Amino acid sequence: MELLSDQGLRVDGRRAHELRNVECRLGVFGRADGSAYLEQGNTRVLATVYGPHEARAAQRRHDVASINCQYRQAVFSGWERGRRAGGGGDRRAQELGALLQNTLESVVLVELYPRSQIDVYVQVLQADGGTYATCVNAATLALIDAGVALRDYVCACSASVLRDQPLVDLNSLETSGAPELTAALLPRSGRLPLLEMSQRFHVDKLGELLDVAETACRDVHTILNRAVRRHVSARSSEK
Amino acid sequence: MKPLVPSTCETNSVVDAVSKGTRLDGRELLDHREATIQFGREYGTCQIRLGNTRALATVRAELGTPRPSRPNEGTLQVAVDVTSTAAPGADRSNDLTVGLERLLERCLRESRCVDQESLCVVADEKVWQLRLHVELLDLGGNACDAAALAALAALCHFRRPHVSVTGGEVRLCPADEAEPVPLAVLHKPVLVTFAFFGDGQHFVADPTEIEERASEGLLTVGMNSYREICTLHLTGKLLLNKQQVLECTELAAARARSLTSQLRRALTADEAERTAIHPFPGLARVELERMATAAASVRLSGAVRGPALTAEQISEMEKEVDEKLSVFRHKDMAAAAEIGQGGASQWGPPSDDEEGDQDEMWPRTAETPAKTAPAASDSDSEGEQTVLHPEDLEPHAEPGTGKGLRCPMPVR
Repeated sequence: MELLSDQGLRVDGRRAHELRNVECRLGVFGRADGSAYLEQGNTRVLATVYGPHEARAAQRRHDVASINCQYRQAVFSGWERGRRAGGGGDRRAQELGALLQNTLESVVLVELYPRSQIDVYVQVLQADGGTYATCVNAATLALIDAGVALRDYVCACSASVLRDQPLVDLNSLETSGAPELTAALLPRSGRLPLLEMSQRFHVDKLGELLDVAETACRDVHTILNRAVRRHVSARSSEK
Repeated sequence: MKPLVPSTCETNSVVDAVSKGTRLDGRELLDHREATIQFGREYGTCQIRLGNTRALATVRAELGTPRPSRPNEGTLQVAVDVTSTAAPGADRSNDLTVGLERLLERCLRESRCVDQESLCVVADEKVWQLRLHVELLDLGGNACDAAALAALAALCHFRRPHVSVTGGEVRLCPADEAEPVPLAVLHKPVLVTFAFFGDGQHFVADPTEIEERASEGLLTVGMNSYREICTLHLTGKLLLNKQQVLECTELAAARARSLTSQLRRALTADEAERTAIHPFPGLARVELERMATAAASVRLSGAVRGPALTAEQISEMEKEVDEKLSVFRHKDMAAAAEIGQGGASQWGPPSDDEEGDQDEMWPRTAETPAKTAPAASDSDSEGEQTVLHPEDLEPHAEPGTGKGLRCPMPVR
């Protein structure tokens, strides 16, 4: 199966620079301080934020808030059912949780919430490529819904290059067949809080990949921004 | 022990120095520390020293069933351990080991460093399962790079036994029948880490521990000598722009090239040493061990096996074995000598019933012969031997008086 046909169409009929269809909803859980549900194509992620609340003694820091992130992938989310309790699945979850924490720590204004803790829980309901980028986007929306002060949106997207053609927003088939670069962007400053990649590609392609990823992240930003404004105006018109 | 929060003056002095273009250990901002590569006696063991950072990697292979999703590929499992000598107690943070494991997996496994299809013996049934174990013996900053280099060197050094498949039966050939086979390493990725300061304005290559603690974040780039990027990893509260990333990858490319050529030279030198003993390096070890056991058993039991051997013949055999073993022995001792010189044993004669496990507990000094060479070979090649410094023990520790170090064994 060809990942990119001669006419320039990908396996799901998209063109190289097109993102998957994005659907998002904020405030899906009543109990959590902030929550968001995000779909990017077939990847579905749920993010909830609790906090800022009093930090546990071990996590308490006197001058800044501590951010605690947890990444969970549901057993029914992938191609094969079931993850082993220990071993590969758990480690990947731990790694991604730590990565999410690093990304969010650079964007949340932690100096405003000393001695507190902000919990971010991300649950992947369906994984079809680009899960990590979707998690970052969902976490951003949930933080906005919770009213936590942020420096800027964090918009993430995955990118790749296949036969000299850059692609964006890979699905799982494309992820297994081509190297994947996941980048997050703060749109106002244009800086990257996150860079991850798998497999390998030549360094000369890196510049082009970063440009393509940045454009895709800005597109994601437009969508998220629109969703947030729609949600806020809907809430304010309720009252 | 809770991890120490770096003090403000420590952090400030490091950041200040970096902004002026100097570093606390006198290096230039973009200078790397020199890496020393040391291979052990067993194939697939390697110790790397990068300044004060030490990493020891071992590769083991066993036959097993393949993963159902990939029936004709072998597997590579990575495990990283931070030893207690490196970071005592609760300081062995889980995040460090998990992060490092995942980073090494991505760098080595997902970038297809080792050709896993060549590890297949019988499709769907038997494949080679490689286990790569990395121990961080000392944390002096930049554990990532040291661990990755150790892992790569171990993989390049490792030789697996030859297998013969006849009909449906798989047979492992011992080393004296068929030379062990090296792994098919397609490319050699190394990790290069940079630490950023001053809101991303300045960065240093190969940070020491204090620089890591004081930095805002680390960027780890994995590259091979063909200028291909194998990993990119950002940690900490770091915000980068595209220009900095490209700059770092250029520097990483140069470092990767020099490290891979250093690794290639070290591998050739190691191979030359082994072939000096025996033209077939795999056999060298087996033959030596056989000679050593024969010589030792002759000496120990006092009986003569096979044709009658005169005393001169026995001593000649011993001399020959010692000479040849000395090449290998220096590999073990070299590793131990790095840690400390080790003094002569200060213990009195042990009790009779404890002689059995003595060999595993005490380090082999130059006087004791390789008595249990096959059994102890695994622990020897690790290089983690307890070494007693003569100055650490109280002077004139009489056995049995209770002075000197306390030991669990009764000493007469």
